[in-house]
Amino acid sequence: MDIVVLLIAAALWLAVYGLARACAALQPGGGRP
Amino acid sequence: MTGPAWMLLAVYLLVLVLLAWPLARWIDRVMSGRFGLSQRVEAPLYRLAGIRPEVESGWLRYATGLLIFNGLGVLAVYALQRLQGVLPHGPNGPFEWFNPQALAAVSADSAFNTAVSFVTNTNWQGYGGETTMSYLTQMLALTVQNFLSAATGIVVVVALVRGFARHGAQAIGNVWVDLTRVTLWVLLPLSIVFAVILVGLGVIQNFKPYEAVTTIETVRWQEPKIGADGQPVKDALGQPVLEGKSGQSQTLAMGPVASQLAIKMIGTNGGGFFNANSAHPYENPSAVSNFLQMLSIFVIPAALCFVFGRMVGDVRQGWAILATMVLLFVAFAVAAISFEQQGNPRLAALGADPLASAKQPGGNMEGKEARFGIAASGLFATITTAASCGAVIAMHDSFTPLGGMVPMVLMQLGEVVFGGVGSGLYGMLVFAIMAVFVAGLMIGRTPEYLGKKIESHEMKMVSIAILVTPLLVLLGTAVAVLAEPGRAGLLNPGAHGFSEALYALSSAANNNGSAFAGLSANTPFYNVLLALAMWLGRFGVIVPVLAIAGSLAAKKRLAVTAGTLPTHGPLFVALLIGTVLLIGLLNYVPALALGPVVEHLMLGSPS
Repeated sequence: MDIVVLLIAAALWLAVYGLARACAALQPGGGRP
Repeated sequence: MTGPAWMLLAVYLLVLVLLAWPLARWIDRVMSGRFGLSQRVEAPLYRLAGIRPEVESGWLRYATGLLIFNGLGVLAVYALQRLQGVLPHGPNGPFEWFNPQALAAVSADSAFNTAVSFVTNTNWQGYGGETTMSYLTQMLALTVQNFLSAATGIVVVVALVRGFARHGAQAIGNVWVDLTRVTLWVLLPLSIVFAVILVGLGVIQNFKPYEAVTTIETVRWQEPKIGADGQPVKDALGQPVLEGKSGQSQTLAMGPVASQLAIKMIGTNGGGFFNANSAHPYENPSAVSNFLQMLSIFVIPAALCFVFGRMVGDVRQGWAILATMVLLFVAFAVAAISFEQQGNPRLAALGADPLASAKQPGGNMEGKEARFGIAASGLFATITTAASCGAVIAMHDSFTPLGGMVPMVLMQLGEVVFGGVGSGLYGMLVFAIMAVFVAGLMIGRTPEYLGKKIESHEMKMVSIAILVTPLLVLLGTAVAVLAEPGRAGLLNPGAHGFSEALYALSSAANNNGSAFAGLSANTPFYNVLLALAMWLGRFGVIVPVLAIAGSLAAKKRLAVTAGTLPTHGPLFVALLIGTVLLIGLLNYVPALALGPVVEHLMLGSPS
């Protein structure tokens, strides 16, 4: 059960990190300083 | 509203502003690095952690740092809950204070839900504190996260305000420095002082095992019968089966309550040490402690409005945001207290006197904190849901349909009426950007806010930030009422049952954490569904907000001209209120119509 929970947690973390990368990609200039 | 209720509201707001103003000066000083002692104390910490405090980063790096920090927080809180049964426990030994009741490990799904809940500043509790969590878990996992999740909210809004204040800049700050400063110099000192005050008022703070006492009278009560699956047993009509109990002994839970309670309120966390939360006499012993707890919920969100004004160099901007919040709050508080004071028309039809008098409070006293009455219970409910606190002294489930709708709507507006520490202000600033955009459309001029041109990219980010939570709430509620495990958790049939699910998802996705009561949420289905809503509702908003911060920081500041929309006056306040309400109503009116509105209409129909 702990493994399942950790997999869900990892998926949630990656989903938000993916959102951050997507937001950066949408930014003019790619969002990098 | 009775006279004392108006007086309570007025005194509350007056004291709040008097406290918030000096606190804002302090927060501004700390966060801008102008507090001399700060650098001497922090320097060794940064050296130890390998951080170069002078190096600031762009928004993506800032966001990634926050995500890593909070991701590790989830793992730590989860691990402590799962391991509490094997860590030192029992009433004897040098570490007896870890877990004197020898409480077992928390189940995996509940531990996951709680870990996400406390990391996201939601503090939704599917468990009962005194029967589930060891003292070590309460202190090291939950209380620590109360600090860190509050710090996360504050640093995000500070980064966003820097985006407005800076021009032509690529960096929005150093996330590790910001987190350290806000925790060390704002949250910790406030919490220590408040905890000492709370102890003085009678909140307990000890590591003793629970105490068994003999009651003077034999107590008889009824409680729902719990089946082998841990769920309430229901009869053929779907109503819970009650069983009679009696006894003359009572177990009094103990624990380090004050130290957790202080940050629970100041950090707008809301997770109670005890299951009854702030309705427990050891967690809220008197009307004075109740008043101070209500104040402590709003004090940082109110102060941050002034911090915003100071950082952007125009204090009037902060006053405008604060005025918006206060006007919305007063309207909702008056509504909640009035609906509860009017009472239930069906009880009135049966002969119950709904009017307040010297001998009785009148109105709807069901589920209220009997010590403090309707006004204080209604005000607390409004404060705790306007802010993303979620601590409770009354059962919102027992409010009248429209009275119960007030807390629900306050959460659904996105927790921007004061809101969570930091999160309330960044949510309101997102709405402010939306408001100037709408105004720009109306007058045919490129929108700008605080000298920053609002363009396509910012509006895309604003759209994501505003739409993430309604999406989670409405889809989550749909799943809950369609899926069998979701329906099994509802206590009531019909509209009220729908409200239970809608409230839970609204609370989770908007990171409030208060419960409507009635929902059996400590099941794998709800633990996972609500954890998902809490995590995405928190960081699905933080990410676009930081993207806006980065984008704004890079822009040049425009000079104020005759065509610039003033954002510090009553016109803008009205526009902002309209924007917040309109977006909230557009998102949620259909769902509200199926829950509290239908229930209210049914009150007037023949039973």
